[in-house]
Amino acid sequence: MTHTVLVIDDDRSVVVLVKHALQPLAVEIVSALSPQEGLKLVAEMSLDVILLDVKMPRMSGIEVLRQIRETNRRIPIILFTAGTHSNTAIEAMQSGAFDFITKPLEAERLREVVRRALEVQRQASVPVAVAVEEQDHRQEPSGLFVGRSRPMLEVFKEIGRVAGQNVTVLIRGESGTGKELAARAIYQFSDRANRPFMAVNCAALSDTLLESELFGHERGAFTGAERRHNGKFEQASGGTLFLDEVGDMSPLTQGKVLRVLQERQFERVGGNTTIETDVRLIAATNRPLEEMVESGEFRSDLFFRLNIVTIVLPPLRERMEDIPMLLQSFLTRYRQELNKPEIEGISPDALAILQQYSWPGNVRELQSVVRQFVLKARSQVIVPDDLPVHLCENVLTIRRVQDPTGDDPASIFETSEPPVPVADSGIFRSSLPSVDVKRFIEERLAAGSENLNEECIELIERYLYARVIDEFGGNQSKAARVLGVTRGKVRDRIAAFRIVVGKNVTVGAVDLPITGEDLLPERRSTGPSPSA
Amino acid sequence: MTTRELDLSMPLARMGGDAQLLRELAVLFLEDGPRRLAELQASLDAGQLESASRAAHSLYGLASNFDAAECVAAATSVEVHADAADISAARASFGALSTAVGRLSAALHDVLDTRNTAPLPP
Repeated sequence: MTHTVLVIDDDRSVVVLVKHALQPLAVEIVSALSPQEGLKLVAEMSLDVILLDVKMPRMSGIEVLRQIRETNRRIPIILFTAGTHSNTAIEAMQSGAFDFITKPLEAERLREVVRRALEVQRQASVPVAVAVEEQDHRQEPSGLFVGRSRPMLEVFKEIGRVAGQNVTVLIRGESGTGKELAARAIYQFSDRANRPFMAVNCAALSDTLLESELFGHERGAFTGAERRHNGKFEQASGGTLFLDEVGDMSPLTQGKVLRVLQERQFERVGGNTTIETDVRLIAATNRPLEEMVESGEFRSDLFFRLNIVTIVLPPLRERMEDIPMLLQSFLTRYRQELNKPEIEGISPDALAILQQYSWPGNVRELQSVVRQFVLKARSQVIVPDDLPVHLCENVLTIRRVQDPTGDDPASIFETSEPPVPVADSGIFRSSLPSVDVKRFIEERLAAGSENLNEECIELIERYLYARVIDEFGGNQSKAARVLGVTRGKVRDRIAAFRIVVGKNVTVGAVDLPITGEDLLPERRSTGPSPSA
Repeated sequence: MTTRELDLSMPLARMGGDAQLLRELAVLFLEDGPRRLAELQASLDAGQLESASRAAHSLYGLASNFDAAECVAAATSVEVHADAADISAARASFGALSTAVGRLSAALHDVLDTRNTAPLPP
């Protein structure tokens, strides 16, 4: 299908230049030399991209853009301007422009932006893989605590078991897994739900401040203590106290907390009066408390007191099936918060990338990424172009070319053609973008890289090794022969690039495999698959 | 401006080395440049700042295709003054722009080798 690009510019030399520049894209160009003529064509024709000059007679390009957006939010509009004023660029993007190009026009840049706009248009025209929720069913504050994966169901069950028991709970998990949300869920479903819930981050305060925050202080206890202060153990009496980063407490504070747990009493800093308290303690940490006990950094008696019931929150990479649900929840939330009602959902291609990423920062990172792409979104559907670059860089997948003649090395660099379906791969993997060297170089240049040679070689090597290893079903000897290197080198590259050999070879700067069976801990492998 | 002073290496690079495209743009400048200049003069004479600004902006766009710094600077000056509603300053800058357009036209004529013939059809 031929795409149609409309150019609206009162300078006919621009129309000529656009026609020449876009010739390789084989698009049909229609032009309008005035805003009115342009708006008429927009109303009459089916267009794929609009190129629009900012300064034109009788109506500015920004005004034309706004008028088009009133009836059509989908079509990508690229603005031209001769000026370099930042306010024009800001106004343009605010009004819903896809991109902004300064004059004099550069053919290659123009072609690239139009190609990207067409690609975004194509991706946005397929049904979304994750749609925003029609109604917000989330129940704050545990709304973010969503998941249907087996590890999360176990967590929910465990919370259900212990919530009603008046026992100390230790929540463990990597940073960003939602430890405070788990603590709040325990509190919400406990008998103390109507009493106070207080949270203290032990790593955020100095020893002295933490001690004062937890136990309070008497007037004059230290310089600046002008009045008596009741600590959290006192304020939360009858309720629940959540101690986050409990592994970061000093030995002195550890001792005092232990005493509260054992005797339910303490003294304020600088005071002699013993205060009784009835606090349910929920503690959390991502630190290896067992090792810290071994090395003497953490009191063993406190550890045993805290470790009565332990809930371990799985990292996001071990519950990848929850990603669509989490995305939906955050997308719905940020669409509303950031006033982007036009956003309808996430495209299959973008979801594929989001599902291939290893999420070292867990749910908190995913939340931040959703916020970023909602802010950045230029159409009603989130497409790969809207995602942060590092997500795409860290993910690389093998695209098996079923066409037996598809051995053209250049084909791996193409991104504009639709993905080739892969019979034995997941539906998402098959639609991942292949290596886009040009884009990678452009982005690294823009990022001010000073190590581009090495970065580029690594990018190609990653693809090359994964592709060849995949070709031979993980057989390293055969791969080494074809690559013309030693088996040792292949082994070295597999480890360096964290190539995972499963049903599909995947590769990337990930700590764990990506989806499905590969997620099971015993399938983590940097060596060949058992079948190899 | 002479052909020697007109450095078309960057414009050619921007057009992906397409010399034919550059020739077409030169022809369009020779056709549209003087027309826009006449429109600008008429607008300035009539004290119509908005249309003066637009005409100057068009000349800016046409000249920037060739990195013609003198012409671009003069067009910018007229446009800025017109946008600032300073008609006398805009009129004062017009002379320099007119000269620059004439010099650029002459240089482009040389490039096209059509000084004494009719412009090539677009």
